[in-house]
Amino acid sequence: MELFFLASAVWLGILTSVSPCPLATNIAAVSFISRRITQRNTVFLSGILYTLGRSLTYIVLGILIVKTLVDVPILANFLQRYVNKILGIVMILVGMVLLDLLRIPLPIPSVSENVAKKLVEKGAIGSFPLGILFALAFCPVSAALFFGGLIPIAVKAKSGIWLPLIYGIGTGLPVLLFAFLVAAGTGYINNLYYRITRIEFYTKKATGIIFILVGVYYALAYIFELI
Amino acid sequence: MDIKKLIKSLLFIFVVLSLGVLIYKEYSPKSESNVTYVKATKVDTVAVSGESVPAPEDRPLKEPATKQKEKAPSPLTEVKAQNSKVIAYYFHGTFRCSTCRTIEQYSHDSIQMYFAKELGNGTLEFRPVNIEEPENKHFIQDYQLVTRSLVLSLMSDGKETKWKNLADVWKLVRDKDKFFQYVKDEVEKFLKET
Repeated sequence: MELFFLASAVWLGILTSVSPCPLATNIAAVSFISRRITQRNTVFLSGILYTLGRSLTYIVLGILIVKTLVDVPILANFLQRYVNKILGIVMILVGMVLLDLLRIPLPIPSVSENVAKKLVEKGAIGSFPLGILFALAFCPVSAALFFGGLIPIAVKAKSGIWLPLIYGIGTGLPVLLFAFLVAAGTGYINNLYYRITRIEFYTKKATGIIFILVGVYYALAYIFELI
Repeated sequence: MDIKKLIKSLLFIFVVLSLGVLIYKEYSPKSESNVTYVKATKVDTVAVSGESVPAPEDRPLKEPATKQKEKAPSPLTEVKAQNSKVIAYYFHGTFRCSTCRTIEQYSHDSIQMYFAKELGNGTLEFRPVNIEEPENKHFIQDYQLVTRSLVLSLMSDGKETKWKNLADVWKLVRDKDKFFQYVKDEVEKFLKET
């Protein structure tokens, strides 16, 4: 029975990630994770952190719902309505940072600048908050699968942590797999050092452009309600 | 360099504009007073059925047809409609995703296909509702909606006696035949009680 619950959670997660409506955020996630395309370890670490970020969101929601008596319909509709509206604006700003159009003002320049720079250079750590944010952006299909599919199982199994964690991993799997394949694929041209450094220049730019385009799409769809 | 600055400015303008529209839409005094009014109104009255079809692109042909039938029915159907009827609500938000459109389309088509007679005499009605409109927000609590949903509601003498959220539409949306059969079976169960 336990195994059945776990299998359902993974399956619901995978269904969520391959459904058409989070496609735009998945493209952005793949591009963000694999933008350090020559550093395979960074790509893989980014993928794991992104997936864990997603899981964290689902765990927090799962605990809120299973342990406390949060009103599920209100929560579900609130997330679907507002997170998607803010997501577009956030993504445009992140895209601008990636394109060096915008610099993040740091509160304490001397110490934290170096730390922050290192983290940004590493490029992996940003994937964690990205996962949290993208998981919060529920669309109708993912809301049906999470609130309508996973939560009833989690309530029945009294598991507010493990099933959402497994579900989160399921939602991250295809993105993780795809990013890994992209990174592995570049191995074929790895011997040409010069070409690779150019590739990194372009992947970072491409990621920035993709973020801005997806952000504009979200703004047009959810704020201006044109699409 | 100049192109960079131009792009930067354009994006900033877009972001600020988006924020402005977002805030304006949230705080615009759009029909707040309507909320209590419609809540108090019986949901099955003819007056509301016109209001509750918010998206004009939705099927402009269908709505006037149902309205007409409700407004000028034969004496027999009028009595029947007042006693008990089934309403099939399709709840959606302002943003429409492709799967959701398919669900709405299938729901509408299957009901049209199998229950033309009931739709004609007023014992059954298909009603798309945007739950993001202030006057429809109460449906979220009434039917515990977490996403786009098809809900059947049985009304007797103006009161709701039974409702069911057909949650399996999300599982069956990839199989048109099963979807149609599911809607048919569920609607039949409800119609038996009218």
